[in-house]
Amino acid sequence: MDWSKAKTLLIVALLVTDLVLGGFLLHGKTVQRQNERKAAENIGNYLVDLGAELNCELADDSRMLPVLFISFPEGSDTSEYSEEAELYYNEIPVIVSGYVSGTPTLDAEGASRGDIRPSAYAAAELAGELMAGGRGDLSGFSIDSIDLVYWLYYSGSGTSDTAFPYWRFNTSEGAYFVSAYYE
Amino acid sequence: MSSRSRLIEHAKSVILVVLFIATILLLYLLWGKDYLRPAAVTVLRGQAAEVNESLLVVPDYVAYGSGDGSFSLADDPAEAFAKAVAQAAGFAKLSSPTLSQITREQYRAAMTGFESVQLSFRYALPTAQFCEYYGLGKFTSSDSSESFTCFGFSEASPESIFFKDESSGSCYRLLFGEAPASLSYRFTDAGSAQYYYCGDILGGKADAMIALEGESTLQAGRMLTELEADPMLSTEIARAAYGDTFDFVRRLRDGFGTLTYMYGYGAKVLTCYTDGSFDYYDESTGRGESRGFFGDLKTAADFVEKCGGIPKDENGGLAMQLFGAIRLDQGRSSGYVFGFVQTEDGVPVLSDRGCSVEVEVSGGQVTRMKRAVIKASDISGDSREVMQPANVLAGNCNHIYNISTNSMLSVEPAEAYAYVADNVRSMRMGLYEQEDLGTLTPCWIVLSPAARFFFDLYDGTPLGFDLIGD
Repeated sequence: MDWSKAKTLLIVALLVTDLVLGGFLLHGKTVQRQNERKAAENIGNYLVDLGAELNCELADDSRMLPVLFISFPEGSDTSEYSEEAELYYNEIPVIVSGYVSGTPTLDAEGASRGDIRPSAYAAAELAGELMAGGRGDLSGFSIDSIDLVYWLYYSGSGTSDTAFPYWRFNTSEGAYFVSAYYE
Repeated sequence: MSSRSRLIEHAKSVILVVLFIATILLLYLLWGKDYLRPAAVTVLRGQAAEVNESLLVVPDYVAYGSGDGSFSLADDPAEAFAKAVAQAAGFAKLSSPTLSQITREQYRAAMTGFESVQLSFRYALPTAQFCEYYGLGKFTSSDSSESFTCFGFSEASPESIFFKDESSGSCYRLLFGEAPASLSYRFTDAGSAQYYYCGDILGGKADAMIALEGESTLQAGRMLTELEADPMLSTEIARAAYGDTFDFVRRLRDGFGTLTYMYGYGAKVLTCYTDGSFDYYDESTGRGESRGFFGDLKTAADFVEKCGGIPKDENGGLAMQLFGAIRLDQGRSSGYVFGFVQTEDGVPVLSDRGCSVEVEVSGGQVTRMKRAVIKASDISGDSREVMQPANVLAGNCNHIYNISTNSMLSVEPAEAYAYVADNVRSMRMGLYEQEDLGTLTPCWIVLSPAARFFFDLYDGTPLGFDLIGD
């Protein structure tokens, strides 16, 4: 058996296979990106059609993120309402809303990471929720900025809780948080 | 071969390896997300042991009647049940049975006045499903009979299987054309103690089986909650309950130390209390069809095994029995609530809060589970004489009457005594869990239509009770 010739043939076969597989992968990613861009565009148009004003781009983030476990100081006075980020995880602000005093600390992160959906999908969900609230359209409503944050509402009791990634929509009616994980 | 050719061959080998690895990586990237991950989950789920649900169905007692009104109880009810079922299946081979109603007196006369075997359960079993499940065939019914709590054979009518439903008071029999040749009325070892119907001793209608006297090796022992024995249990149960979504479940701990896992805005919640008990609730399921008593029991048993495990004895057998079953009928969903009780040294362990594990199966899926399992130690000692059952009942009849009838007014002792003589459904030895003290106390477990009572096994003093309703 001519082992040298066999190796050459195998190299050619694997090279062709890898090129085909790589092509499929690239094509898949490109199609996915195009679809997401198109969906974002459609959702943006839909929001505008409903009367909303879009003052920013519908952001995207291809990272995979875990949940975060946050602990709170025990026996602290919980009279102060806060919505400021005091913690950061990989430069993502961790916002603890609710009656918090003392400094929450980041305990640990979840073992697995989940895909983050484009903010356009979250925006569509937000619009759906607002419309379900009984308003006929979104006139007078504007989205001024969108950013990815970790968010958790603290009820004022308990020693630990879990923060999830959210898309934060800063709007003319205040901040709205919509889950950034795929449902 | 020249050194240049050798170099080329080496380079080819390296390229070959690199290309091969690249192929695998590309395949992983291409298929990994959609195919490899679910496959891994399937393998993990496949590792959860399946439980033979029939092992959880054990009679409260198997009584061999001698024909003079006295009975002896089988030492191993599970073994006696298996043999009784095999015997009943022998009937089914002969001919198709017909079902006919009999009176309670006829049933009692057949069991007490003749050689007989009687198997009593703590819950109602659906007759048709029971017959189908255990291979007794399908029968033609002339009377409507849905469930039973006792079944047996009697020399009074060897070609019949007798049934009694304690809750409705109805009795009936499956009548076959003839009796199997191998019909027997005693098929396992039985203790020497003589048992009688409670009503026969106290002068009433109660069908509980009680002995005149007895002995036991049970002694006061110590207990730990399973969470004290294994602090990682909360995580294990949560991981099993939430499966591949576990890493994306909200986890919060309150100021009392209670840990809650929550998924989907409270649709699926697991609460782990500091006293070692667990409460699981899933409102996202339960909209399908019930799989019947034994199908739903299998669903419940598999879920308990998956989420924390079914307690095992030292030989690896199941140290848990089905203790109660209530049929649910909620509009389009139907199912059962199953109560399981942990056993130690063959006797049930109970507390004021009810069964060790309670599972609600609705629409073929588990919608709720409550779990409070313990680890017992030092519960066996020297054999001692227990307080006579009749004296325990007579001495506590006012207590039983007041709790059962929800009346705290004083009552004539004769009235309370008559109530007990007519209404005690079961009286068995067990262990009473006093979680605050961390102890297990040997007890008499007395069942009335409204409550389960616990009395000290050796001096008869009341230890507690658990209201159960009817």
